Amino acid sequence: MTLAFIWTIQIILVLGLSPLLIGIIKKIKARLQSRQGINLLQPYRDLWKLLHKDEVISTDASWIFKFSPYLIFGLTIFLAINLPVFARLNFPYVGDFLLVAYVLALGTFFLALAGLDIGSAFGGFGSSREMTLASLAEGGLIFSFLVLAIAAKSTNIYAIAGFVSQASVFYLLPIILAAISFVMCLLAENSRYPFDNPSTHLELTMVHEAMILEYSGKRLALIEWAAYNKLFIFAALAAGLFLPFGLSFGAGIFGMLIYLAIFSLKILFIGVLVAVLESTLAKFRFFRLPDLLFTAFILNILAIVLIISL
Amino acid sequence: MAISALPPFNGFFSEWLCFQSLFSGANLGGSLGLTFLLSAGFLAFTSALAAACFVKAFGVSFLARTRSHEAEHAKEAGPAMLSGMGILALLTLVFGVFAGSISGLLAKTSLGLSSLAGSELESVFNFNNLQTPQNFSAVSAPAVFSGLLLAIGVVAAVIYFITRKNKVTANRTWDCGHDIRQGMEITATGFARSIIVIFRGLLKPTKQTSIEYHDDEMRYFPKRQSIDVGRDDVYQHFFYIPLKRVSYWLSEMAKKIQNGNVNLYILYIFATLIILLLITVR
Amino acid sequence: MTPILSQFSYIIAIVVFLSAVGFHLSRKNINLVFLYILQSSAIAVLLFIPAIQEMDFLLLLAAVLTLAIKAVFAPYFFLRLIRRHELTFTSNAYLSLPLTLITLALLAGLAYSHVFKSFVDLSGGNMHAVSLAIAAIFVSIFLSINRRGALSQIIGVLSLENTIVALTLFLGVVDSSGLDIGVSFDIGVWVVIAVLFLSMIYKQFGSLDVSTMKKLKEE
Repeated sequence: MTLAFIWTIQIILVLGLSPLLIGIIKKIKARLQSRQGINLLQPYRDLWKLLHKDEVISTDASWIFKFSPYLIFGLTIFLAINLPVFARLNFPYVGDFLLVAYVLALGTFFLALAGLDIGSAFGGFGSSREMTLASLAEGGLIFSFLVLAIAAKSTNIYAIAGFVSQASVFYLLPIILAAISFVMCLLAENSRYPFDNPSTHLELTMVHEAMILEYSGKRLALIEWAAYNKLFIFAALAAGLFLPFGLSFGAGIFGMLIYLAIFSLKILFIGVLVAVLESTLAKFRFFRLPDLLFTAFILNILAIVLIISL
Repeated sequence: MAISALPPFNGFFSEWLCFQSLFSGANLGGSLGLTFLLSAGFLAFTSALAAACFVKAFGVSFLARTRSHEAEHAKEAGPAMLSGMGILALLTLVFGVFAGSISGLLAKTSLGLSSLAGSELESVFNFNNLQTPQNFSAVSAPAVFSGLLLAIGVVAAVIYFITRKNKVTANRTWDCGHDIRQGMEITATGFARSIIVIFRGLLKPTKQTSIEYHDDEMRYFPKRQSIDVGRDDVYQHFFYIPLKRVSYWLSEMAKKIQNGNVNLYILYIFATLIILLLITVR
Repeated sequence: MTPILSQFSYIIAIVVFLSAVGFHLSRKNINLVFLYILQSSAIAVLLFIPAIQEMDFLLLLAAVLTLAIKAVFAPYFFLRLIRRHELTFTSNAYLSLPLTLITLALLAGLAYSHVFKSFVDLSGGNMHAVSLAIAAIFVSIFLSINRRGALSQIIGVLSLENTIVALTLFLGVVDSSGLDIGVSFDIGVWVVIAVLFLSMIYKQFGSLDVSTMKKLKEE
């Protein structure tokens, strides 16, 4: 099984399944609110419609506005290669978690710049809020990886996944704490409740949506798809790092198919978890969010203290 | 982008190496390990806050509409100045992509320094990949750069092919029906205000409002209102001013000793003499 | 101590520790009571194991009594108090949430440090569970220190008792069933009196926040 073949499959998985994941989450949220909800394939139709629409670009925009969607979408494709889907892979030069965290930060950087580029009031404060939340969530994200990295003695995601699948039960408490804070950072970075409302139409409550308010047509399709991909990538990381079951079914075609099925179940579980969390929590006031993010960071430090003394 | 430690520029790889050394220190355990761990946490927060700072700096200076009269009449600099800046910018990218080889060169220079003589440089540089011992982590700079370029290139090509029949028109920014005015854009103060409020225990922000009313007795319709936001200097507030207060207090105490009464001075000399006699003669 | 038993006691220790940390994070009184029920059930499970292993009737009686008083009787009284005076939200803490969590992390570090090394060596197979129980003891004491509401302080003391029982069980110290029965009876009577007292305090001062109880004498 060559490397290129595996990478192609991972890219197709991420690009193809992420709108479905978003559709599932929206459907579950709607059902919990006693609504019918959208069709599961509706996000695909939305992306198709946006790709075939004309665009209107503001006269104030510069090359950053025009270039950012391509960059952000390309980054999610690059990250798709780093996912621990097939953990038998032992290519040690891609898959470092610091790289993953900072490539995500690169995407946020350009999105915030694009929000500033158009010179509207909404884009400005959207960028301000997004950079504030990202700067606080970065520490929590890196440290939840670090908990597992110190336990597994490697920062390669594939090695960490392999370690967690055979860890003794005495690592359970640090892994639980790291998982709780990773879920908090997942909600923060993907603009979900309680950090942001992904389906709001009130500009004063937007963080992520405010920055992309001015985009239209194919660029909006790219940015929306990149946001779906980002949630899928985070879910895949959580599935691979914290729920590492079913990794050892052999390298044949049959084993691969079984592993893909188990992987889809894990992603579905995380999607359901996100939907339930979103339906039960309210969106917090903006200045209560740093408390949440600091909590995530300190839970990680607690987990590392426990691991070092094991 | 290089300062904010974003890949594929050189800042990211130097920060990567920094993190690796802090992580290996965190394995030591005990209070020493905890110090390394907390430093790694501070490093993560610092790089994220630096990214926020440079979004603000770049965005406010260069993007969207101009924010002052001087900026409206700004002209692009001549080719000599541009090429100077351009070469430096290109170097950050080059150092980033070839980080492996350059770190190898730097490691050789540090072997000669006597202060680092006891500790060996622990990293292993393998062609153009950065790798730490015991296979703790590895990252490949050229792979990152080429991967990013390839991904972006493929996306651009595919999208161009799919949407080549679409039109792109230019129009005003969406302004909710009002006219776009200069004050609508966010300023640097506004951008950073959230972060300042979050860390207000350390940064001590100040806000002063003054309002002038049309009718001073009714106070219903303001004529002019101004708000001054500022920030207290952290070092002055926490370090220099308390230091000054302590030294003033000590001087006040010292002042009481020397109050000009001659009898008191003779008493000091006499008391010192007696105490010395009691202590030394046993 | 068989490996399965030590792993199982570690999982129980995790439940006890996480519910102790959960007390600090909860803002509603009802969550405090539910976490206390969870913690007491874990302790009761821990008491059931030697009872079933040795088939001793008195131990079984002690375990059942503990479960009845701590997980049913006491929470019932607390819920009645909460419902009667509508005390939904617990009062503030002295330290803000991040500082509270930093203190908890430091206390956990203290429990795992060299200071308690000798304790841990005593325990034999249950090392991790013992350290975690010591950390949970510190966390419960800190709950009584940090919170202003009287109900939180009572739960802190009860949680302290739970975690000390957990520590003695993990250390393998043989305790007589008579001790357990006596302790449960004490707790039952104490909870009734404390709830009555809390009711009187609430009627007199209007809130359970201890920092508002300044004038203690009638003037």
